[in-house]
Amino acid sequence: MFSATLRCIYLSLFMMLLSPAAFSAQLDCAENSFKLHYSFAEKSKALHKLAESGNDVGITQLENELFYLIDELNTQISHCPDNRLPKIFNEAVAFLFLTYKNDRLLSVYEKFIDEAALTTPQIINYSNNLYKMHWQARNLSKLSDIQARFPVSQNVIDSYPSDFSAEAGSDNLLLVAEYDNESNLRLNTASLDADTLQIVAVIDLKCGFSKSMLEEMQSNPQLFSPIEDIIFLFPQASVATPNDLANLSADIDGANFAFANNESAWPSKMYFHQFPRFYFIRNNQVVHEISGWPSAKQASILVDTYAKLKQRAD
Amino acid sequence: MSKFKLALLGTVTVFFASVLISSNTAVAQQAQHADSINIYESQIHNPEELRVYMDVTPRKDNPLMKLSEAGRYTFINGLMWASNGVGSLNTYPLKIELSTNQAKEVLTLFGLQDLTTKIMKDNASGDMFNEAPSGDISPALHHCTVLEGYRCQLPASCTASYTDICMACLCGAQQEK
Repeated sequence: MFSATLRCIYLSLFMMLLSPAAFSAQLDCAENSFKLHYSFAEKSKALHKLAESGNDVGITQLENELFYLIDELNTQISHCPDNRLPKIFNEAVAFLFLTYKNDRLLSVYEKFIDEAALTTPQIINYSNNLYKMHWQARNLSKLSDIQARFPVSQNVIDSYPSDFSAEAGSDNLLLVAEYDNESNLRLNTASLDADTLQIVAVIDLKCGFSKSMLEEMQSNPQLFSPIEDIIFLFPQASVATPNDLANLSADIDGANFAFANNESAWPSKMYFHQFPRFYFIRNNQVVHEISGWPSAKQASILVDTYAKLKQRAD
Repeated sequence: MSKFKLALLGTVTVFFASVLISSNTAVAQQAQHADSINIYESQIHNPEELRVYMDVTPRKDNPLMKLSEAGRYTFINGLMWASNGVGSLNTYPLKIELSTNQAKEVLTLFGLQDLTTKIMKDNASGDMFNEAPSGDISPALHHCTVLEGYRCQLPASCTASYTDICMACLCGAQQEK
């Protein structure tokens, strides 16, 4: 009887050691993090409003404040094992990554995985995120190091292949993912034809409007056929994987899909975080833009606008 | 403490530890695929109806009063109204200030009760593991794709906005007849 009791106690202690965060409830020490997070949320919204309007004034100041807050949040999380904080921090980094795909942010995230009180599934989940973010930032040479230091899942490594040539800072605007004749995934960077008028549709698979448009294209492959050059562009930090893009290319005949290879090399008027948004580009300049996909009638508006702009340019 | 009590304590601890761990995993797995929800018939469809509701509803019956003044201001100020309901909303005050049941009561006012699981999925307080009360079951009006970290930008697009959720079906998309 006594040994059975001891076994139960040992097992309980072992499980607590195995998963300490699962036992920590909501703690008072989290209150300070919530205040910081409110501030982070407000400043993040302000940053995107400025970026969307193309106003660079004040962005640098906001950047410094946001990085200060993310550092503070990270410090507090390492001292407060409240189980709500890791998710909040992860969301904050993911949001900041939309704008800043740099080593400074990724180092903060590495420190978070190393020092916060996380469960084993959380460590795996956040390690996978870290690997994916490095891939999206095109830090291809760092992927093997991340793989060695963190428990990255094999399916994530397989989903984001590193055997192609595209380093951070490249001027090639597009990263194209397609299957070859033997159904192997091929990734290649490409540039945009600067001389012709093009529509670049910024979309993402997580966006309901973008998905409606893609479904419409699947049922009607001729939807955009009067437009000579239209490319469906996914942001660098898209939820879509290279396989998703290759599958779309295979499913929708004649449509061109690509990731933005390096968002900062695109015209400054391009905003990669509103879906869907259609940019009319010529000579590396945005000459017109249209937002949204309220219904399939939007295709006619795009076709008409393209025809008018093309006529004017010719 | 007797041997029997020790044995009972050990067993109870192991049981709750197992429930906690298995529930966390189940919630995480469910949440991975929860990117669309049903929208239900609701009490409040526009800012005017919200104003009237706040004026006439006794404090104890008003789930928004469970929020702090700052949280309530942030939540109400974050509601973006489209022609037929809430196009996007800031769920952060609900996430950090309310229990799952309280958050569901707030969201039900706007027909968005299905968002509860999505926004509270990692909020592992004790009540997380009980189903929030369903209350009266309203008819579902639409099935709606939702996007976290974005707000509604009329017409029919979602733009990045931290802590907001964009409701694709209510943000200027034309419903199919």
